[in-house]
Amino acid sequence: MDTEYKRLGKKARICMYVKALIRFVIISAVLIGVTIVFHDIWPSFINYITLGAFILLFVYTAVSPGVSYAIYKYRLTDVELEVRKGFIIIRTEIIPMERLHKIELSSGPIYRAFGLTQIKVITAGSDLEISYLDKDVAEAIAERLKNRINEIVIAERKEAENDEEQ
Amino acid sequence: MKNSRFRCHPSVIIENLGALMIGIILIFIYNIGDAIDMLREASEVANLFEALIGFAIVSLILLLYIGYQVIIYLKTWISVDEETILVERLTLRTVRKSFNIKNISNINLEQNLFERIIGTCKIKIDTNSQSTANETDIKIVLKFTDAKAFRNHILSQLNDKDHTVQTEVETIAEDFDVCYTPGQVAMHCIYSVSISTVVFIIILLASVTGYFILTGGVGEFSLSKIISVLGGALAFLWMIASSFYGLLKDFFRYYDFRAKRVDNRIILSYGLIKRRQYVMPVDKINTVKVRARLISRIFGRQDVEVICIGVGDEDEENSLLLLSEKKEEISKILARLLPEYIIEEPELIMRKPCSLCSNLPGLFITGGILTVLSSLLINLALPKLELPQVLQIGVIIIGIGLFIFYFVYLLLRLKTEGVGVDEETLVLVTGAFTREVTWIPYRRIQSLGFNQGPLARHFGYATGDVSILAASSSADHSIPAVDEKLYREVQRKLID
Repeated sequence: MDTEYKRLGKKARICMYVKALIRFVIISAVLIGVTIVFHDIWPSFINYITLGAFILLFVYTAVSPGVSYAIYKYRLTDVELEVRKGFIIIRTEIIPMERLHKIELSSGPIYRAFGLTQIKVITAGSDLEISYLDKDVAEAIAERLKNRINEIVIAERKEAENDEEQ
Repeated sequence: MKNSRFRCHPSVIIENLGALMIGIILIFIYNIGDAIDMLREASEVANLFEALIGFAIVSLILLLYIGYQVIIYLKTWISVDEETILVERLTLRTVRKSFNIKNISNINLEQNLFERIIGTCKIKIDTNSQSTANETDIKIVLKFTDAKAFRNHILSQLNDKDHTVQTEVETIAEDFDVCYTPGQVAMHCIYSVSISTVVFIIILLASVTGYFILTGGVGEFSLSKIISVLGGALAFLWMIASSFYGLLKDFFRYYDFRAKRVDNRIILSYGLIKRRQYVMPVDKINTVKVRARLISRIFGRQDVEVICIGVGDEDEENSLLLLSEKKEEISKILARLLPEYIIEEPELIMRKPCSLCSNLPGLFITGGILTVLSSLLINLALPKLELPQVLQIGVIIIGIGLFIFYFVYLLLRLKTEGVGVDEETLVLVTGAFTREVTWIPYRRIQSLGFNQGPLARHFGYATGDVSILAASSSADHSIPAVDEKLYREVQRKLID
């Protein structure tokens, strides 16, 4: 049971770039469309703002997947699950094993093209996602989680029986 | 009551039709004048024919809808046996919901005005389930005596597990641990006035006065001027009334508030027009919040709210446990009502001052967007209206005022917010003008998360959140910007 952080596979990085590219195409299409329709009507400084937004979007698409990939880490121990993700703002999420209720594995169309899966771990009040995992890695993690939950349930039942006997 | 199968009370048809019927009746009455005129003028047979067809269609739709509701009523059955409650709707689309009595977290009684008049009562049952946490699971309307019997039956089934003898839940006023007079309820409403209401009223007064000074002083007394002045005064009065409406609503809501601890449940009873009686199992309480709003803080009062699984699902439900009391009184009463929670504030680790830097970019970006929007407004829209230059300056002054207010708000937050890591509970203190202390036992926390931007990483702090099992509006609690080591400490406590 290693307690070090694990990184994502190589395919995850490419998938992140592809997703960012798709987002870029869609948003810039909207931006360009809006500019074409309105550029006669609104004051000229808005055109500069739109241009600025476009440049920002371009820089974001080029830089964010690489940085996100470097930051993305997860860790699975006997007692908890921890994920670290983000780009500018880094978010760490922790769920104790005992709180797990449900495990979901899903892959959208882009994920399937790369053979990746997303694990969603659901508790009574919230959920946690580990994305861009290789399919076999995801299934191994799901197995481990299920076994661990079973162990916890068995241990709890034993405790309850012991309490009743006393 | 054992092993029986029964229907809701028939008045449920009227209640379900309620809103629609009232709307239609109103529309009908409003149009009756037109309808009669139309019929009189319908000298040609063709017009009369059209009118009659229209009337027939509308009546048909109404009758169909009423018939549909009656069918639903006739085909909805509720069965209760030793272990389960079964709710079946045997219409074209059959729905059968089965609830294990052991999973019931709450069973509550409620009577709105209509139900009080005719002597029925609504029973709301909630279970321990996240997927249904956002709506009440079962709603049944029965005659009041039947409803009480039903509830007591279910409670006795729940109690069998604990080997305690079921006591009659309906108790008389003197038996209650906590009982508030109307005067105390009124004081609570005043104490709970929030800063936003105060600020809103101040801004309202300022802008209306400004408006009157600017327009009233200017020249001719044309009729349109008088009308616009009157209109402005009406709007002003309306806005003041709506702020006070909130206070009044609370007064009617908490009228005759009573609370009592019985075994491992807390019984709450309150309301003037809509009377509610809640039975809250103590082990379903996730969080306790002690809150002091602006006026309460000045006078040294606090109120207590609990978050209980199953309460808070619908718009108007929340779960105040105690109304505004002096601080010393709170600890005494809580010792009786809820001794499981010790409300002694531990040593708090306050929010880091440097965390203000995280808020400032947001402040400037919002300010920037507002400036852009207002300059757009001034350049494009306002020239079409004839507003004096002075008004534009007035808008700018209000803008600067809001900016300064926001800055003061941030400073107050800095002074108030903090986190305490107790033995068994996490203590979160949040707010600026209001001071809210939230007590969450570690074993109720489902997950922990925290965020760090580049500034936060540099200075070593993080903002975070914890989630508990509750309706989505109260499920997440945010942790103010404190030292990042604290989060690791909480993480360790979660695992133990």
